[in-house]
Amino acid sequence: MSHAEPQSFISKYIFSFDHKVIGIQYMITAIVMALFGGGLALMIRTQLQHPEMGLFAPEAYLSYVTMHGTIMVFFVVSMAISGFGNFLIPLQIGARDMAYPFLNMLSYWTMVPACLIMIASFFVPGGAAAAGWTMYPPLSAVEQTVPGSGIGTTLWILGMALFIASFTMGGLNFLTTILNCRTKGLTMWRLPLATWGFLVATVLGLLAFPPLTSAAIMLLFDRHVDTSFFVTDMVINDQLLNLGDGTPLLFQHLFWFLGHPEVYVLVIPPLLMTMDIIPVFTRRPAFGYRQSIWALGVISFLSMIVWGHHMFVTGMNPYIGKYFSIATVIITAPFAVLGVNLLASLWRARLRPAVPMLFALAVISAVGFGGFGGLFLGTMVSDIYFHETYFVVGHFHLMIGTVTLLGIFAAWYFWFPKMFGKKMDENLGRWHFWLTALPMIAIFLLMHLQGMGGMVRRTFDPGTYEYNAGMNMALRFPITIMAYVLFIGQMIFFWNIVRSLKRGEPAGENPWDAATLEWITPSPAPHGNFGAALPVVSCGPYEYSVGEDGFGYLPQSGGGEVAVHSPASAEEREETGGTDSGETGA
Amino acid sequence: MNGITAEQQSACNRTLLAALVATVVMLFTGFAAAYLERSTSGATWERIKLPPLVLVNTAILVASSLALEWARRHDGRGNKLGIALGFAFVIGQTAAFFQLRAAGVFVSSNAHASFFYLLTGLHAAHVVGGLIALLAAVRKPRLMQFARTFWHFMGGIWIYVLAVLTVL
Repeated sequence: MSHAEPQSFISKYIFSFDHKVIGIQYMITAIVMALFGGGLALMIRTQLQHPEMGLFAPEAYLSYVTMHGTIMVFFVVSMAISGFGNFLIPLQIGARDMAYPFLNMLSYWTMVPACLIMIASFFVPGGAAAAGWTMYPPLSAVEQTVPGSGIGTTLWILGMALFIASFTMGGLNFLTTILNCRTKGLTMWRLPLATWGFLVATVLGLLAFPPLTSAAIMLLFDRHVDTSFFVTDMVINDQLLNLGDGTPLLFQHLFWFLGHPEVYVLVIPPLLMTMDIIPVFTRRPAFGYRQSIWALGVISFLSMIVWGHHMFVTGMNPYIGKYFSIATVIITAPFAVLGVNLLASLWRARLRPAVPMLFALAVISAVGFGGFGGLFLGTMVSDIYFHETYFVVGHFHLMIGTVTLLGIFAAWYFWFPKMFGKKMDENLGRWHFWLTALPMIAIFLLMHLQGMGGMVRRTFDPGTYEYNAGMNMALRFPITIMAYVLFIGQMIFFWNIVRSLKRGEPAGENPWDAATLEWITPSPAPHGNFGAALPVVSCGPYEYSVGEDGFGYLPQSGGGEVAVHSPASAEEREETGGTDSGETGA
Repeated sequence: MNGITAEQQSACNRTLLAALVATVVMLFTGFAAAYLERSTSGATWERIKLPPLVLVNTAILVASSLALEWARRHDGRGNKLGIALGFAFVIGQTAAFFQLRAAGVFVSSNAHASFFYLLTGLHAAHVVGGLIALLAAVRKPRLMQFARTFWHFMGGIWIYVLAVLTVL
């Protein structure tokens, strides 16, 4: 199972077994896919802004919406999380690599064809899948319903099958590695929160994806073997199709049994990476470490039994709806624990507003806004009104778009020095921050307003409906403009990466004075991560504000010896005068 | 260089197996839930008559698990019998498929037939995976405990599949 340091270019950077290289491969692939997904978003916005221009046919619009969702959910956010998980887990737990390096390599190279198949599906007769990222039958099962339901959907299912296979391989690696390969002294209660996040998300994903697999297999059978699991007799274009007497609702149950936990698979790792980053810049221990983890456990469990709140308007029995509604609202309690812990981590902080911290603060805002909107969608009565509107679009983009991407950006700026040995440029980073966080949150808040005004989602031309004439139509313009600003703002990010790789300030081992294990190795970390001996852990991950004047911290492997954080400390001491040193301490 | 001890590696293998079992359980749970929903909400629900060969196959699968257990207590003598019985099960199931086909029951004949082909086919796919693992374990005996556990698990899944198809 062991592998030696690779020598050739191909074994070092292409078919690498090294978790760090694989992690970066995932991230770069996610960035490329994000350009596709973002480009689709701009096309969608442009169409909504100027439906009279006839940019593309309504069927094409459905394809673009479908693929925007699919790409963003599975091939951008999921994949970026896989990237960070791969990169961080062995470093944070003091291991030399994943438990199964070959499986890890295989996992990435199963993902690449999945991406290619998804992109290729735009160029087949009928175009890409057009049934929404949820792939509800009959749109996804009966070819006559929509052009994209031909070979495009077959490719979609194939791509997803590869994605699920890849995710499963990666997840098995995450799970086995975190549970079994931690270095000496690193108990579960000393794990950094980011690693906890990957662990919980992985368990959720491994349990939730198989039922979707079963649904996908049955969908394939319905499409190609004439079974009738999901499809029923229907009339299309005055033509009766004898398809049997399946039940489309069944697919929705199976889909959302994955779909809802998947939301948490997407949100938890960025959120927990954020919780990992905040203490470094507040120089305070993370507030309520254990409570956060317990809350996380409760949230994850509940997330598997609330899927029906996506289906209040599907004709499901309303009594079941009531159960789902109550269970959903119960999630508010553990989620509030996480939210309060995030906020309380800022209490009495000596805040260092570096770029990762800015993004982390924006994550807190986005969680607040997004979570609040969720209350209205989890409650059956209000959901019946909101369900077909932009309120839903705004809400889920805030949670699985904004929270996740802002968290991923925070993580990118924070761990970039460890990945490449250089620091990202702070000034460009600030520009990028404001041009990302502001438009993102604003766009989706405005969509909530449109939703309250009744603007229906999935519509090709909002002008068709007279009641949209007032506020709903007027709000389109700021949203579209900000979408463009957001997209162009990302160019600063790319420029920053290129520039920092070339001329960035060398980072050194520990540019942020952080206490977790990944910061004791050189940047970038060498093959095998740690030197001859693995580190031995003697304390928890967030022992900041210790020492005589409260400016020290305990590195996890420091044997209890206080390290003093150096770069900014002289100025900071002057500014604060060390006044609150008395009440700090772990 | 994943640099972990043999002890850790074997702990990893155990976790891997447990996680694999959990995902397969969820996969078949998904199908069972689908079966329950489909059989109670569809307008028509006709049952097909399962070929009696299925019962013979069940006995063969149970016998193969017993052979492997016997081998565990007798220094690995009997592993090959267990594996041979495993192959016999796959062949027997294929024969059962052909019998159904000859009787005019196809995948798309009705929903119960679809579920029969799908569930038993999927189970067979996992059984083939288990056979590959067993064959690998004949060469690398330290893998035998994992392959054997998975094999017993597949026996359990088979009973579960039969129960879903006949009782539910």
